[in-house]
Amino acid sequence: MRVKPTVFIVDDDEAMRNALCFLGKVIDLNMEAYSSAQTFLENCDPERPGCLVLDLRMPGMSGLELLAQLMIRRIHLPVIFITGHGNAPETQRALEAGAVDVIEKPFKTEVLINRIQQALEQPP
Amino acid sequence: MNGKLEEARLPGNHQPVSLDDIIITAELSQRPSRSPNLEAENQALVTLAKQWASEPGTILQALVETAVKLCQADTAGISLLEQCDNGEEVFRWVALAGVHKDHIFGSTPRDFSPCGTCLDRNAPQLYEYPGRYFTYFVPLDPSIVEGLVIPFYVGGRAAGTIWIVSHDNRRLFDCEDVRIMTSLAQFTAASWQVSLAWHAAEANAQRARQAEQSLRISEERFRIALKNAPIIVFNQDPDLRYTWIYNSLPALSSEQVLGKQDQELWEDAQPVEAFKCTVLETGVGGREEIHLRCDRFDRFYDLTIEPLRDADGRITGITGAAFDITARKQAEEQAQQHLVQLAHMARLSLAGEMASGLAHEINQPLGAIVTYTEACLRLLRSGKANPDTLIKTMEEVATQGLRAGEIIHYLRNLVRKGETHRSAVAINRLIQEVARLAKIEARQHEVQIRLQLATALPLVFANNIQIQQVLLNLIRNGIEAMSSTEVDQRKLTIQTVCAENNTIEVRISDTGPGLSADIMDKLFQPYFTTKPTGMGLGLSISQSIIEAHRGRLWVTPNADQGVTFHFTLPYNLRKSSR
Repeated sequence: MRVKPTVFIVDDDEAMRNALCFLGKVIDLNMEAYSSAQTFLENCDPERPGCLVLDLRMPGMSGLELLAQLMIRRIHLPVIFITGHGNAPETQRALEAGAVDVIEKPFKTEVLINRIQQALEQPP
Repeated sequence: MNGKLEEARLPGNHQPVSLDDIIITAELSQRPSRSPNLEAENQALVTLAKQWASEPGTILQALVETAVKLCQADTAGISLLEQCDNGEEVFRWVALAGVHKDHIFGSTPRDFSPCGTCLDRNAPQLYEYPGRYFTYFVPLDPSIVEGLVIPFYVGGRAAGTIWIVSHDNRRLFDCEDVRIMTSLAQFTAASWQVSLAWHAAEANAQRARQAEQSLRISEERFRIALKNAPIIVFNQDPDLRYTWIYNSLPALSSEQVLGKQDQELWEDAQPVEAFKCTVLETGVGGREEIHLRCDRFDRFYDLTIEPLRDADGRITGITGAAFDITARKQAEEQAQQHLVQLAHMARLSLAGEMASGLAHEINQPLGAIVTYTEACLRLLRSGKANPDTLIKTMEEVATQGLRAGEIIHYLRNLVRKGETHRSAVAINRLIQEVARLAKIEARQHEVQIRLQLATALPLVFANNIQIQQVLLNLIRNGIEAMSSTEVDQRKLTIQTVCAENNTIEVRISDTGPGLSADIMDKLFQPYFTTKPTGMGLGLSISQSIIEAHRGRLWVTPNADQGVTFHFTLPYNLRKSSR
């Protein structure tokens, strides 16, 4: 039996992390939340399947920088970006870098759940 | 014999000549005297008297002409003693008649002249060829053969001489000439004395007229100046009733004001009466800006009040001058209005610059709210909803809703059209409010904001929103200045201290790279900016705002790293203690 995948949340906003984790419980998804890109990188296990829900703009390492680090470490996790900034220049760059999607906060949970499922079904 | 004498005494004889050689007064008694022509003399004196009565100013001239006629002299003159500016005394020829009349107003020295010797010897003197001794007579042509000099006195003091001269050796003077000339000398003395008195009186009168005239001109000037000046001068008794007023108000005549107190005249007289009472009680004068209002009258005055004291130093009332500053006040108000508009414009621009960061900050709680509520909806629809879970979640939703609302509240404050209104403001509270807003931006730039606020600061009289705007500008500048600073070094410190001259000083320090001298110079100029975005109005508007509050805004480099912006706001001891 396949290992149950995990949705890794990286967002500096505590309320957002808590809300997403609550949603994960409700829809029975494994979720793990990190408050910064740095802490995620430190705890990241390349063997664990799943996807990444990543805030674009964060203090310290930004979402795009984390994506680059993952590529350097050959960690292939599908990434869904969430952002509070509509039309930020990073949006385009994120899509070009291979992100599944960039979703603007606030978003309908249905959209995020669809993207997460889409990401988890992607072949590694 | 005459011929021989003449030869011996002629100029050109190189024997040294003494004063006694030229004075031959003793000879007079030996000369035959002609018989007096009393009729001619009498007539001449009557003419002189008439002349004196009708034209006193010409009497000296008339006297010398009479002397020429009565004595058949060639030249006659009156010499008056006078003191020159350098203190030297001379004889001034104030009247001349005959051959040498054109030498009028010439002079001879007191110490070396026939007149001087005559006064020294205190008697008439007859000189023979005086040019031999007084060589300054040599150029005279025709030269002096004989000169008869008679002294005269005014008030017991030597005043001058009257004299006659012959240029012809056939006309030599005798005792009859001495008698006539003595008589004319008395006439001269009398007329000169009167003339002196008259001149003195005239001079006095002239001085009095001038003094009166200049006093009148000065009074007139003062009156015109006061009349056209927007200034009211007044006295009030110890009950503060007006006892005298000059240049009363346009709306009230002096009669309406005299005997009244301020409270009977103005709508809100309490502050002005309180001010005057303080001067009465303390005996110390003062100056204040006041606002006076009654029907159809509304003006501002710069009022100076001083106590009035009697000879024993007891206070008997007050005196005051009120200078109309309504125009200045209106101009100030207009400038204030203008600043309010400019400041608002700058705040809109500031809000624009901050909008993106604030939108992000609002989207965070909104994102959490939507996620929480939709998750709850799923739970409810699935029928697995646990009330405890729902309650906990909904509480979190409410918290996040308030968080979003708070940010919107800040933003709304920022774009609100400011009022000119100023109120008593606790500067620390203002800083804490602004810091909460600034922390959003600070967090995004990974800057730590530290507050070091002095306790128990007096209130300042300020426009709340404008001071917040200044704080926000300075804080944001500090945050942006530290973008190249190491993350763990990015510290923005806001400090308040009680400074000198009754001011509160606010200091905002960053740990950025500092400012070059070139940039420091231009920093407060409008439209000067080092940023790619922004209008460059922030600092110049901030400075205008602080100056409008009678404070000062400046920048200094820090000892270790970065710069500190300082601004002061004055607090009024008296007003804050009320």
